[in-house]
Amino acid sequence: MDWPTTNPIPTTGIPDAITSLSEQASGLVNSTMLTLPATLSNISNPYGDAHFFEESISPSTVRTQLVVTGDPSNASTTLNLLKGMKWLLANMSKGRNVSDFFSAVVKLVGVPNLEVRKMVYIYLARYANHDAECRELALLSINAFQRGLSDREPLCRSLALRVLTVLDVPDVLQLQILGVQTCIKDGSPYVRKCAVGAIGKLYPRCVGAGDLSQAENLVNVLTRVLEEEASTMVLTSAIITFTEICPQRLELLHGCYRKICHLLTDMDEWGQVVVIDTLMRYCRVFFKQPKGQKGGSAEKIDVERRVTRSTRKHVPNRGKGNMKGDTSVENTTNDSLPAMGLDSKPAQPATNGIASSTKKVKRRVVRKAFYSDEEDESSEEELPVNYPVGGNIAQTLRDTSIGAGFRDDAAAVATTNGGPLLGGGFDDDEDGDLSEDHKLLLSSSLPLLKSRNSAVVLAVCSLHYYCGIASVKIRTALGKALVRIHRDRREIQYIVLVSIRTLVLECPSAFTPFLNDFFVKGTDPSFTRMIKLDILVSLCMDPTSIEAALSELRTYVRHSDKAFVGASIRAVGKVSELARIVYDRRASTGDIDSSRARSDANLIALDCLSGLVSLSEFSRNEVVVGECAETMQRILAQLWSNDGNNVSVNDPTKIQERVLKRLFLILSRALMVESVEEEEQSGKHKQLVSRAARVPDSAVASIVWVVGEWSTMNETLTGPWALEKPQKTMIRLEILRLLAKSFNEIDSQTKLQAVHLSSKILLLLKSDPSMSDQRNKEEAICEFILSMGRVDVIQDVRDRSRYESNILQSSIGLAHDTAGLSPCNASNLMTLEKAKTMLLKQKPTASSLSLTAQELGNSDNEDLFRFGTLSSIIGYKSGGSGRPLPKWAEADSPSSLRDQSVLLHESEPSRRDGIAGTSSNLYSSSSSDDESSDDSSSDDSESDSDSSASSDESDSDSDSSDGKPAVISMFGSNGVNNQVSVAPSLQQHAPVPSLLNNGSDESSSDNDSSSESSDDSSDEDAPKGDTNGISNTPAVGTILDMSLAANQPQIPTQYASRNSNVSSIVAAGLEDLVMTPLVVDKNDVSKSTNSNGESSAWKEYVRPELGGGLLVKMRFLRETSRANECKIMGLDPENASTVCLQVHIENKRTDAGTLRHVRIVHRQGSSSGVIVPSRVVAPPEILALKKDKVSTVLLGITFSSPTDKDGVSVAKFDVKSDRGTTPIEIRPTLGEFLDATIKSISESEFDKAFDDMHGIHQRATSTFSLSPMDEANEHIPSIVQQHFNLVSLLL
Amino acid sequence: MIQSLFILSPTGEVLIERHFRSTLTPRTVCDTFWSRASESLHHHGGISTASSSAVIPLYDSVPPVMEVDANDATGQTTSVYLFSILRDGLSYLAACPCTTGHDGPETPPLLVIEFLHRIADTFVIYFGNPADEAAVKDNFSTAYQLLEEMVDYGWPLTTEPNALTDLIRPPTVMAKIHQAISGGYHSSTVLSEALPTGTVSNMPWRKAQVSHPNNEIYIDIIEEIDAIVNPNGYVISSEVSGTIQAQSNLSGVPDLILTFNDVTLIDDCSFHPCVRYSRFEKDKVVSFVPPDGGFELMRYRVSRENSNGGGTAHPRNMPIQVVPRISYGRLMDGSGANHEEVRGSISLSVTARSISSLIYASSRRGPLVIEDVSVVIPFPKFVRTASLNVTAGTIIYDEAGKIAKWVIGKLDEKKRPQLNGTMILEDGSENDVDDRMSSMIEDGEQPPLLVTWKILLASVSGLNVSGLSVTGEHYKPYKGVRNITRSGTFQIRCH
Repeated sequence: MDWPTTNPIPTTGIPDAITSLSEQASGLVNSTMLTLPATLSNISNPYGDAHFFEESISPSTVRTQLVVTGDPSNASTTLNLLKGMKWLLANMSKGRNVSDFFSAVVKLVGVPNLEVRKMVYIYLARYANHDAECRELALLSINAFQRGLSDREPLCRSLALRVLTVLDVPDVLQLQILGVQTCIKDGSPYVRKCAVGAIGKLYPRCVGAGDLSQAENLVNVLTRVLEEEASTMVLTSAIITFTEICPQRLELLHGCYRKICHLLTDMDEWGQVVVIDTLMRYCRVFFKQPKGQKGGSAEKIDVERRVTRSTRKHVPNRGKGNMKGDTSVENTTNDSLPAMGLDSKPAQPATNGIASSTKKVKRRVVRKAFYSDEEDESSEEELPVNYPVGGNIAQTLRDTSIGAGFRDDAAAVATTNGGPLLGGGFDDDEDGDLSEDHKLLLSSSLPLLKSRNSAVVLAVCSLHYYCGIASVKIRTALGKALVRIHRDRREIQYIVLVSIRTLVLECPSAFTPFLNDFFVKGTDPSFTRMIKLDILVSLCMDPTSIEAALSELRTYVRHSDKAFVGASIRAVGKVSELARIVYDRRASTGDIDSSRARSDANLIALDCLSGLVSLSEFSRNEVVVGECAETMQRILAQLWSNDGNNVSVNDPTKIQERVLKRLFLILSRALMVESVEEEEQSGKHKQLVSRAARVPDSAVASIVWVVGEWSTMNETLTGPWALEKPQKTMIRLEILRLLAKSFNEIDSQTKLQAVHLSSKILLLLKSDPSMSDQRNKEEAICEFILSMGRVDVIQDVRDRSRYESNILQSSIGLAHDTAGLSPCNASNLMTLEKAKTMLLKQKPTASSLSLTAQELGNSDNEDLFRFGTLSSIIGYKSGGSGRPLPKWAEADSPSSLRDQSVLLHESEPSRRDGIAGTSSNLYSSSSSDDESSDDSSSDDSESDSDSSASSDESDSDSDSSDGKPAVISMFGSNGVNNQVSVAPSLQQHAPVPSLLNNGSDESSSDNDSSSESSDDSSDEDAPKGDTNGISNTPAVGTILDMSLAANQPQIPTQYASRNSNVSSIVAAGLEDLVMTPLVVDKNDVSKSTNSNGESSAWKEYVRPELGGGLLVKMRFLRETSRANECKIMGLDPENASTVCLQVHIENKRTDAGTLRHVRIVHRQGSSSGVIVPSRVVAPPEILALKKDKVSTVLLGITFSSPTDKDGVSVAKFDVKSDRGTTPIEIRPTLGEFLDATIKSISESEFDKAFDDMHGIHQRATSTFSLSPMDEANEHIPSIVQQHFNLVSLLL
Repeated sequence: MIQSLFILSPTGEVLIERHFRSTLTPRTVCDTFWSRASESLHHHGGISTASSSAVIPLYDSVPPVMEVDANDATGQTTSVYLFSILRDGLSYLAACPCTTGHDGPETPPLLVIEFLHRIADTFVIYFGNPADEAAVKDNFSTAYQLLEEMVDYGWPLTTEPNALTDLIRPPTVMAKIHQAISGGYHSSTVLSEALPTGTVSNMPWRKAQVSHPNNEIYIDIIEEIDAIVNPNGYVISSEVSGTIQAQSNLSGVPDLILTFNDVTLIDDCSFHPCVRYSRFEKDKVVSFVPPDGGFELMRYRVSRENSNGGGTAHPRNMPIQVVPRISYGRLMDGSGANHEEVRGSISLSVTARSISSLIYASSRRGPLVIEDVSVVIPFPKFVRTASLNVTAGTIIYDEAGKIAKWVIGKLDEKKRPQLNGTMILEDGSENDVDDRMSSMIEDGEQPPLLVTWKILLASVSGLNVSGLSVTGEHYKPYKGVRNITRSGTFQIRCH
């Protein structure tokens, strides 16, 4: 490129100051610009607002300033107001109560100046609920807000709404709710967003006021927004509100689940965090745990390389030759990758469960990964049909993954020598058993790892860790992202590091390449230093990292922060312990000889020791030396214990000797200080001793233990400190003497160790035949210490001393201090050997390594250790109110639960105003491919081509079973849709047709038409002709079929079994949609026989002449039909206040035109004395209804409360089409709420039943005499019965 | 979510107090916080790396998240979680309840902290850099208004600078000068008399109806080297991360596509929300509709493995070398043997090295010049004062913070600035000189030095822009790209 590489950023003139400021903020460092802010601040200082913080203005001045005199838009008035308000704000900042200005401020809500008004709002929000007077005065401002709600500017509307709803004044709650309900239908998404947010504010107040039905109402409003909103701005807010008011009612998200997944990347970054968290819980509740989550390839590798105590057992396990899986990482990756290339077969992907042998599982897993692309190809052809947008995402991801090529990566890994696996496509691992919706969530959230917002990145990591599959690729990506965001501001770094610390224990492989990033820097605050240290230790997984970590630790132990130094010293101990494990593991894989490995590890340990001993010589700090002593003790213990491996410690430079000398010196010093008399020691001795630092008690105890171990060691000459025996005895004696002398002063821990030391030495002396003059002395001191212990004030010491004394007494017999001991009894004598095994036997070394969450009982503690949560940051369960992550569901929930939203989402852009619509297209998360599918629904011709294309596809797919093409084409067009709820709307006035008016005509004609239509679709041989019609007007066909189908939900299984020649995936995917035409005929038979009993008569609601050619008539479904339909629509048929209507929509236009966008929209609104619906399931929109076409759909209504009065339950709807809107009103008669279980009863039965009912005193008796009626009126009683859901008496 | 927000001055005074929900968090939480924070106010809990001229020591005795008991008006004790960040000397505190809603999931901690930083970032955009105590005090009413727009009921509402400047006009220099000229605040209300024209667009990051007379876009590729260097100049660890800053002055709604010369240099990256993630996944191009004005387009980590054409992501040869020599020793005070004193001496030499791992732009001419060089020298606690002399640049010693900052400015190969000085140590009375000396050396580990520097037209990785195309608009914008390499956390250990 030949652009100029220097860019002279334009000389900053005054008008450009804003840009210059922002430029600077964003880091475009330009030295010339640095001068400007400096001058700026010079200018601004005397004239800024800072002086409002001073006391220079008296409150009375402010009072006068706040009074509006004359024209409020006058400049000087405004200025005064500004000054006054600023003063108030400044005083609020200073913590002063300025509520006594409330009356003055509340009058200013209508001030024209926006700046003043905003400050007034801030003031009001703070003090509106301050006291009774303020609350009363606050009511004065409501009017202004309500005016604001109808402002022309969306920003003003939203501001007014936000402030109105923030006022916590109980009196205005109803007004606030009203405001929200208005604004939620606003044209501007920004206003809608604020309205949705306001629901969250009002809900707790409704609950607080005890108005639960109102609160429930708000939840319903929210649910509707979730289901039908298309603007990401509003959706984001809706999810946030969801977590505010009803976070546990995850089932409300079914309808919008897929939509949210698709739009996830378009949401604002803050919302993404909340949405991901919510969907994570959703995912756990409604999907089953993927096999790959706990058995993924990454998990396998990590389990192996994770250093736990149990890994140590690998050494004895070494014999099992086929356990090649127990390899170190380098090995695993290197030899498993070629393997999967060679002998892998695409077969049995389904069996890749958790097999018994580790190795086997892994192989199969990887092999599956390699072939899964191919396998998915076959099923993927269904995907676009299934989930138009989702399929494309999957396609995109897959494309990239194919490009990358797993094999290539594998090769790369092999060459990069044990680096992390960078393998594979997106779903390279065991995700075959995931449900499509689960996959959708994972795949649509993955790109957000690249978000600039660290909270989003962490949320995505959390989602994939706890709900995803443990594939190597994913884990690597997570690790990278976390390491990337950890290089941020220090507070962010802290949170991320804490998360990494948790994660690194579970999956170290994700972080191994980044060891260097966790080195402690000079700028690190203390709270991150410690965490980095932990991470460094956890990453010591191979010799190179151990080396690197140790050299870092060598620097850290000289830090000025002593707590950090202490932690670093402990870390040295851990690393040296890890070294042994790591090398042992290498040995167990056959890389190196096991004794070589052990001696290598020992070398590292000695190296650590040498560093520590220097430090303890050099340092005077009590804590540091204490830590050194304890850590040296641990390392010595590790060196001296040879757990099953007889490799003697090769210590040419006598480091152990140096360590022991140092430790004994420290011990003498500690003990001497305890006993005052030692102060009179000779000068030289004293000086020597005083050079050693004092140490904490626990360190002293550790050293005493070391003395015990050392002095009872067998190797007198080749041991850690080669000494002639007399010398060794001398040292022993001196230490014993000091201990005995200071026994009363020393700490209880040390006492315990001293007692133990004494008994060990006694035993040793007993088994040592050689006699010396010191021996008697030594025995005496030991027994003295034991007897002191037996009468110690501390119970623990007493018990321990008695216990050990008794063992000694019964085995070797004590000679000197036997007070309180029963004499040695020959009958229960213990052998010397037994006593030795009890007191002297080699002990397994203690481990200082941290436990992983799994070892601590993962399931119970999962939430505490779940990274990124508040609890995990502060280290304990916060508050107690946070819900843990829900358990996985036993099985996937049916995907049909989430089917509702797809059509709606697609049809949304056409319905919404442009602003909302375009946003989803412009920055859609999926690739550009899916834009066509976004558009398709709004465009008839395109949807045609779409559906025909998909039917082509399915044609080629399926082996020409006759019924299928039709079926699939319907499905392809938009068949995923069952029913959709539509926004509430409010309208009154329905033309209520007179009862008897051509009712019989209608019902009979309906019977005809419905049987006709069902005949069509039931006829399996006929679909050829029918298919065309349907694919031309997809929506009509679908809805028609569906409504009829709905009566018999148990059909699908039959269908699936009958068409077993269809591949099972298709069958599974289509299960609840495919049966549509089949149901028709079956249902139709039953319907035509009993439709009279099962429904009311048709009632015409929209007449063609008034509704622009649209005919809409409805009838109430009853009994089993009603129950079935209710179930389908998700309404509760048990609820007596639920009614279900069958809606017949017909185009009766005379000019043969098509009606478009026919829909029934609920209008909400309450008026006194009526019962309004609490839930409405409205039929989906019919995109186009051609001339003489008929559609039958369903409408479900649940009224908010049951009633015993006739005609008080009212539901108001708008029937809309492109030709206009007709308001209708559905007023179910009381009879519709009754469940007529008895078909017909005799008069006597009726009387009997009636008598059973107490409290009914009215009885209307009427007698019909039918005979005089003419033919036409013969049906009247039955019509009346039908309309009012009455039962005839058999007279 | 966020229940209350407080902003504290460097002395613990509350500058801004805002409650977003009906619960009023009592101010006592600030006192609790401050009493803990002030424990280590003058210790090196880290050093602010902000480009401000003053060096501000940071406290580190409070973790960013802590639980605090709050007594409300009725005397009930509830515990709130206090999230805190420290920016430009100001402490931003957010008090949050444990869960987001009733019975809901826990408050996501990183969300709160990230949001606090975003608020601070916005303050920088509005009030200039640094947005410190003076700046916030001077503009506190704007700050309140900003909070009003940015937070709704404790949740982030509008955070994109482009959208915010539409809603609240920044206090412009024009207005300030106007004030200054007309004397006092008599005409301070030139501000927002009219309503901002922009409605909230469907791309929240971009203003509606942008129009510029000259359409131009500048892109800076800034790579930062984080390194730990030992006193001998050996690089212990180094890490290169880059940011791409853009300054877009383009009219209308331009759709840009940025391509790189070698995308494999990027190991991992993050994008501004305006970038289409999927395009990058698929085609490795950055496709976006930019916000108006300056913004950070992306951040990336330079991958380790790739070292195309000599550039290595892990520079072993840094362009600048700092050699510290610090020693403590006995010093006869002249007045006699009884008055022995322990003193320290320090010397630093800074040199530029032309042979380094950097890749320079082809258009670069002349010798290597390192700009904006400065060295921050934190002293151990026991140093009472230091007298420091430098051969070039200026040095400021902050006695309270025990930090010296040596500003060198431009550095080339010929110049070899030197620092020499002595340190007078705290008087210890308990022990003799020997003891004191050893304990001081023991306690007084010399903290690492921090070096900042910048080299124009140089790059560590060699990443460069190979093309930037504009679609959606008809004009042909002026485009400029440059590379900058600078120090990230570049520290020199002293032992």
